[in-house]
Order: sequence, then structure tokens, then C-alpha cells
Amino acid sequence: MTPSLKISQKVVNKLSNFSQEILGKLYGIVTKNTFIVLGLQTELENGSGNALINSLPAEIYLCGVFQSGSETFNEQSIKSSLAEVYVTDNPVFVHYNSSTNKITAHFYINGQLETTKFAPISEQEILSQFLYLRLKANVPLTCELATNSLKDSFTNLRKNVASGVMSFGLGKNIYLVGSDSEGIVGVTGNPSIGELFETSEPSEGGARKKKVQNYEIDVMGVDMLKMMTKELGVAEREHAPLCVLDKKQCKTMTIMVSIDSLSMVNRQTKIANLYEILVESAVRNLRLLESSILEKLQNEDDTIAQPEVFHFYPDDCGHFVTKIYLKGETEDALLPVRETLHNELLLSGCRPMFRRANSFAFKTKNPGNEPLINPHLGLKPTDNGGKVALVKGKYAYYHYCQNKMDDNGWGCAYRSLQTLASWFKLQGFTDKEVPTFKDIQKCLVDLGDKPSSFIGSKQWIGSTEVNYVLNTLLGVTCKILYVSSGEEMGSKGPELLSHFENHGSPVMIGGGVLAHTILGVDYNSQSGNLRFLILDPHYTGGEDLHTIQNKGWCGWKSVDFWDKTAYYNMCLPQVPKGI
Amino acid sequence: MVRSAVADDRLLSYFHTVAKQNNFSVGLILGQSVSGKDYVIHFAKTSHESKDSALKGINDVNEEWVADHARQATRMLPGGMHVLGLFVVAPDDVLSPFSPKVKSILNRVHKHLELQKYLFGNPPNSEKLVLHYSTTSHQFTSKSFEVGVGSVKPADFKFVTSPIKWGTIQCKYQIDQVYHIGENESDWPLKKHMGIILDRMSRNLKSSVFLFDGELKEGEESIESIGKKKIPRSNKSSGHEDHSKPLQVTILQPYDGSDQNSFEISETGNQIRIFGHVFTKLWVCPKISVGDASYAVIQDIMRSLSTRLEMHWDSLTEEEHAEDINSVHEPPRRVLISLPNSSIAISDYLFPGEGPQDAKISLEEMLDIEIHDEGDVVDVEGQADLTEFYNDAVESDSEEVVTKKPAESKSLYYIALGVALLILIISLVTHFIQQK
Repeated sequence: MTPSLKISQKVVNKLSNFSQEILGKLYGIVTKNTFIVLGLQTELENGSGNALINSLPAEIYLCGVFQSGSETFNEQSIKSSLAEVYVTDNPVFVHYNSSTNKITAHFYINGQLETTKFAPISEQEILSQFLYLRLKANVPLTCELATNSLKDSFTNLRKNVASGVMSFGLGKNIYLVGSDSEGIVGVTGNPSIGELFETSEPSEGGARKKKVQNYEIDVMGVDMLKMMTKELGVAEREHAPLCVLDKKQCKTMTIMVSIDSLSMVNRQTKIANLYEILVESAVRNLRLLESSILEKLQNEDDTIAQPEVFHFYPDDCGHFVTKIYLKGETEDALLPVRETLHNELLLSGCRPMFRRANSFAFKTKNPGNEPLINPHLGLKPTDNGGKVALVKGKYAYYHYCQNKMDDNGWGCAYRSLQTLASWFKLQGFTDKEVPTFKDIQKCLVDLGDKPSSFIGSKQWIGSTEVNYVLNTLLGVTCKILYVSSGEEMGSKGPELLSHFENHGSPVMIGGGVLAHTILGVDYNSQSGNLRFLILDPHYTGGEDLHTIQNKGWCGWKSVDFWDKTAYYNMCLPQVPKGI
Repeated sequence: MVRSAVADDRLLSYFHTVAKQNNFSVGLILGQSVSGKDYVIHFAKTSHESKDSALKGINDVNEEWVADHARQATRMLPGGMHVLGLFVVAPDDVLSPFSPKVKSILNRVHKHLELQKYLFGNPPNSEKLVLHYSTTSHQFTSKSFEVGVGSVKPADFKFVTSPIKWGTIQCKYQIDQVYHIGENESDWPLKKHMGIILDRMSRNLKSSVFLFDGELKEGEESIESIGKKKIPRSNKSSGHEDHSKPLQVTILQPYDGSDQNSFEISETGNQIRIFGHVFTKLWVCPKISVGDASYAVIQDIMRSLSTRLEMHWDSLTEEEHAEDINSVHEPPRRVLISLPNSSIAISDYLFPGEGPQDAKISLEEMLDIEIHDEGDVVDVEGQADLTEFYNDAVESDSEEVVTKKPAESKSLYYIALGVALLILIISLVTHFIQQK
């Protein structure tokens, strides 16, 4: 029986957007009945090649190849590339013909490529079927700082992890001590991971039931433990503890290897079956960690430092990509690494996706009172019927009275500026923290724009000052748009639309009266009607999304929103192109 | 609540024997204290130096001797067992009024037991039991003394006819870790490094998860509950009705190292590797909670490790302590010896080359036990075959500078063989020549 083939919508999009002749690998999850293609990788001369698999969550395997271009494909070469696929006997081949704009899919069955139907699968559907396990463990390692010694140590570590002495802790007090149902401790039976996830996080499970259609990236934390005891019985070469003192002169590395690995598992998976998957994820992670150090060592680069694991979830990929950067390596130095990734994964080169700042923000246990991220998500769309362009990527909602500071009545432009700065930070354009009020005031004094008494005062700032500060602190230039009255705002549709399409950064608006942040527009060029997606910094309440959305602190507004008698200045931060 | 203690009545005869030997004696009460009740496993008289001048009374007792006896005896006890207090065999009552000398002995004992880190010498409560056996009336009286506070309370001590029930717990704890010696630490004595290694092990054990017969239980549940709720499997006869079958402990150590950002490159590759296993067998009151039982396992492992290291340090010469060359240290190994007429075994430690005979002496001295059969001493851990280890080391790392004695002796053997062969040929040749 041929399994049903599903291809992630994101993969379909990527293929359809590239007209060059390209060849590459397909990655996905293969089960008995379904075959889901989740990602692709183009063949690059200096690309990561077969090592990319270690950057993908466990359970995703190389499952086929693809070709794109105007020509027909060479069946023989496709067949030989498919021989690299181990996870299934019937790998998939996807062909995109750029002249007909058509995607065809084939299964390799009994030495033949057989055309098969496929269905695109949306991200929501993928998230509804799968969840992620995040295994974290800190394993000490000491070895001589030399290529062979390092390789041996990591090989031993991987062997150790795969040798069956490891146990995995899931949720609260549930342990997998072996790879079968006998090895489950702390829960009766053999529940599925989906069930376990729902029970371990009841609040989220409850919220899910209300709006079933909206699945998030669900991540369950897993710990690794080592079994320190052995079954009793006579074994050879066993003895009481010995201490061996070994002194030698050699360069040695002592490191706490921080395993931080992901697995992508179907919610129906029985937990007893997770053991091998978790081992595989740890092994992949260790390979990544090893190569990150080894690379430096082989290049005789003595800037070896603690490797740090980052998980990225680029929107255009729809799957995780794990990378290791050594501590202290600058983002500039890592540019070639990012370039390779963008090219390999067919991602736009316009904005950063693999800088440290872009790494996926896993939910922490105590979210505390951090500013909300993207509070506009989930708002009802407008009925304007125009072209919608919104802020791209993430920003944080800064507003009155945060961090126990009463700026009610004067701080709105500061808060809007902070929202703009947060966008640059969260996109990875800058490593700088979002400036505090004091930072902002000091910056303006240093510039000579304000007298020194300005620091600590409650004086307002306007768009001009926002522009100065962004430029000085973050090196961002802004385009300034001026309108003489609120009514005139209605005529700025094309300019704002273009800004959000090309730059996608949030816009600060101030002037005669209050300051706001514009997050997007809905411009109907037929009727000329324009709607604004406004984020209001005058909100004084707590970080409650429900209130913020329902009371209009973040929402769509018409031109009437602007004061007819007042003038306005808009600060449109220009975004550098690059990764 | 009156403190209560029980002991098997087979231990009664010990007092008759002691009373016959001397008119006055002191000794230790050994056992387990679980939720306010003491279960005695053994009494051991403290031997005093001069045999001819026997102790006349309580004031003749040397506190140091008793305290040191307590420490030595504790080292031999499995985890969860402690020196519970003191017994006094004397014609006069020393408990009412409570003898100040007894107080000061107990205080001294308590302090001395604190000295060795990881000995876990004192039980969680600071109450010490005192039992008095009158050589005149042949009656027992008992009291409880709280160290520190100094208060004396009544206690109820009973010898019971039905034997005290014990559950057994066992495991084999594997150790294999490499400890890197930092550049500025290389002149530290080995003892200091080992102290750090022990601290690390203790920390790891405390954060570990303990499974009993593969089951995870809440800390408050008693170990009796283990195996009870399980639906009997068809192929396995259920359960632990029979408490004689030991519970197997599985220790899962989390990899959640707090110093997760540690990264260090040093110019020296000095390291200590410690590997081997500790055999642990405990006897616990079946009412003990899973949490306390787990703690007893930790106590046993750490007590045993720190004891053998202490013994090892004591056996080294001053030069050996500061040794700056590659060396293999082989601390003594654990052997188990059953107490007379009891299922409970205590530990002794034998150095390489020592045999059961050597255990005999310390048992007589410390626990007043005589062993007649050398088979009573069970070698549970095994002695490392160092020659094998050296060969291994040579194989695995050619730069290893440890002694290659076995290899040398082998070549010597071949040389000798060659020489012998040569002599044989020469003698044969001369023989033939002579015949011609």
C-alpha cells in the first residue's frame, strides 16, 4: 500500500518561489501510513550536506529528493540520489516545473518512480498532530584538546547515552528507564505523549478546548538521568573503587556539555516508544556540539569557547533548526554560517533569522510581568477589504506604568520608542537591550539636544527625539512623514503600505498630541479607505491580553481616531537589508 | 511520648557474660531509630587498655576511648544504623540520679561522631539511649538523654521474644568519574582532591531519584507498600509478602549540573579517575518511609566511601601523601560479616592482600564478636586485578607512564627461557663432542 503523501505548505511555497535550477534533499516524518515532507535543503558546494540532519529534531529524517527548474529530470540521477535515503524503502521525489508552475510527486517503488497524489499540509495541521520534546542535560566532559582525543571522548559519550544506562524524566515524576513499556515508572499503563502533555499542563489544555483550531508549538521538557546502579550478580572485572592519579602535560578541555535537543513526535506516540527517539535526539545534539568545537580545533583557531545551543523556528520553514554558536563569537563573524543556512533552506536574505536574538522563545514556567509579545495576534481582521500590511516579526508591547514606574501622562513617546527598539532587538538587528527612560534621556543630553536637567525629569519627547535616539543608540535611521492635521492621515495609505511591505518595522507617531505606535494598515485603493492597526502606549493595566484586545488598547482604528486639529509626525524606522 | 526501644531477647545473654567478666563495663548500643522508636541490633563492650586493673566505676571510664569506639563501630555499620547510646553494667544505679559522667561521655561521643564528614555518625535526633544493667539485682533500667539540651527523659527498653522484623535493601553503586585537576591545584594533596570528589558525589546522590524494585514512591510512603499495589503478573509470583527477599534499589542521577556554563582550557592534563563499585546492603525497619530508606542508602554509600578513604590515608606514609607521580591508589574493599544469630551483616574493610583473618581482629576489638569460620566473611566487592589494569592502560594510551612491570617481567621470562635453551644446546653439543 502506498502511504498518503503530505507536503508542508511552506515547502510548497519555497519551491514555487524559486525558478532557478536546483536540486536538493527533502526531510520529513515517515510513518506506516503517512509521509509528511516538512523541510528541504538545496545542494550547496559549501553547505552542511549530510550534517544538516543533526540540526533537525529527532524523528525527522532524510526522506527523498527534489528538483526544481524548467527542464525535465534525469531519472537515473534521481534514483541514485534516492539511494541515500535509509528511513524508508520508498522514498519520495518531488519535481517542480517552473515553466508550467506545477509540482509533481513520485514514490520510488520497486525500482520505478511512480507518480502519486499529494496534499499540502498547513502549519496548523502539523502542530495539531505533533508536539516537541526538549531534552536538556548537562554532562561533564574532560579531554585532551586534540582532534583525536576530542573525537574519542564524544564518541564515548554518545555510546554511553545510547547504551541503555540513561533514563528520561517526563513531566512530574514520570521516568522512562528502558525502551519498552516495562521501563515506564511513575504512571500506570502506557499513555500517549499527547495525553501526558494535556494533563501536565492543565491550564493550557483547558484553553485549547475553547478554541480548538489554534494550536501552538507545544513543547514538553525532558530531563536525562543516569542509572548509577547495576543489577546484582557476578560480573567479571568488578572491583571496589580505585583511584588513579594521572599527571601529564597536555592541553586539556574541561567542559559541561549542555545537551539541548528537540524531538518532533506525533501526539499519539506511546511514551514507551519515546526512549529511542530521545536517545537519537541527544546523539544528534552531541554530534552538533562536537563539530562546533572540532571545527575550531582543526582550523587551529584558539578562540574555542563554550558552545551554546540555539533553536530557531523561522516562519518560512515551519520547523525547528538547531545551531550551535560558541560563546563570544560575534554575529558578524557568524555571517557566513547564516548565509549558508539561508541559501540552503531557500530563505530570504532580507532579514535575519539565525542570529541569537532570533532564537525561539520557549515558554518559561513563570512568565512574570514581562511585556507581551505581539499582542495584535488573534485580533479580528478589518472589514475594509483593502490590502493589509503588518509589522513583520516580533515586538514587545511597552506601555504606561510598566516596571513599577508611573509615567502616566508623559511617557507615551518613550514607551513607543521602546516598542520600536524591542522590534530591532527581537529581529536580531541589534544585541543592545531596549533602552530605559534614563538611557533615552541621557542619550538626548549627550547629543546636546537637551540640558542636563532633563535626566530624571518628566518631560515629554516627540518623533524628532525618537528619531535621534534610535539613530544614536541603535544606528537606525528613520524616515519622517509629516501631516498638518489628523484628517490628512487618511491620505498616507500608499506610503504606510509600502513601509510595512518593505520594512515591516513598527511606526511611532506623535506630534501636537499623544504618541502612538502604528503596527499596520489596511488600505483599500478602490475606495481610498484606510485603517490603522494601533498599539496604544497609554494603557496603565497589567499584561492582560484579553483586556488589551477587547478594550481597544491594541486594535484597528479609522481615520477618525486622529485629532483633526492637531499635526502629526511619523517616525518610520528604515530596516537594513541583510541577515 | 516516652522513648521506646526494643531488642531481641537473645541479646540478653550478652549482659550475663559481660557481668561475669567484670563487675563494671560500658559499651555501645547499636541499631536503628525509626519514628521515635529504637531497634537494637547489637551491644558492644568498649575494651579498656589495662586488663589487670579492671574499671571500678563510671568515673574510671575514659571518654576518648568510648568516643573513638563509637566512631570505629559506626564505620562498620550499614547505612541507617547508628550508635544509639550507651549501656552500663554496674552494681550501682548510674541513672537515678543521672550520672554527670554518663552525660559527659555521651556529649563526647556525639561530638566525636560529627568529626568524620559523611560518616553520618549521629542519627537525626539528638537523643541518646542509656541502658543500665545492675549486676546485683540483674534488672535493666533505661533513660534517654538529649545531647546539647542536656535533658534526661524516661525511656522504655524491652527485650522481646519474637524477633524484630527487618526488610533488606541492596544495590551496587557504580562509580566512574574523571576529575580534572586545575592548573593551580596540582600541588594539592590527593586527600584534598578526594574531599572535593566526595562532596560532588554526595551532592549527586542527594539530587538522585530512587526506585525500589523499579517503583517510584512518594517519600512518605513506607517501604512495605512497595510491590503491594502491583497487579501480579502472570509469569511472576507477586510480591514481597516475604520480606527476606531484598528490595533492589535503582539510583537515577540527574544531569542537571548547576555549573552548566563551566568551560575551561588548561595547560595540564592532570586528572584523578575513580572507578569501581560500592556494594550496599541495608537492613531497615519495614515501617521506614521511602524517603528515609533512600537517605539510608546515601548514608551507606558515603559512609563506606569516606571510611575506606580515611583508612587509606592513615595507611600512607608522608611521602606517599604528597606523591607527585602517577600512581594507583587502592583503598580497602568492603566485606560483610553477619552478626551472630542474626541476618544483619556489618562491614569491615580489607586492604589488598589482607584476608578474612584480618577482619577477625577488628571484629573482636570493636564489636566483641568472635568469628570461627572464615567463610563468614563475604568478599562482596572484589579486588581489582591491577596487572590487568596496567596492561589495559598501556593498551589504551601509549603515552601512559605507569609502571609496565608485567611487561618487563614477561620479557625477563623470555630472556631466561632463551638462556636456558642456550645452555641446553651447549651442553648437548659438548656432550656429543665429548662422546666423539
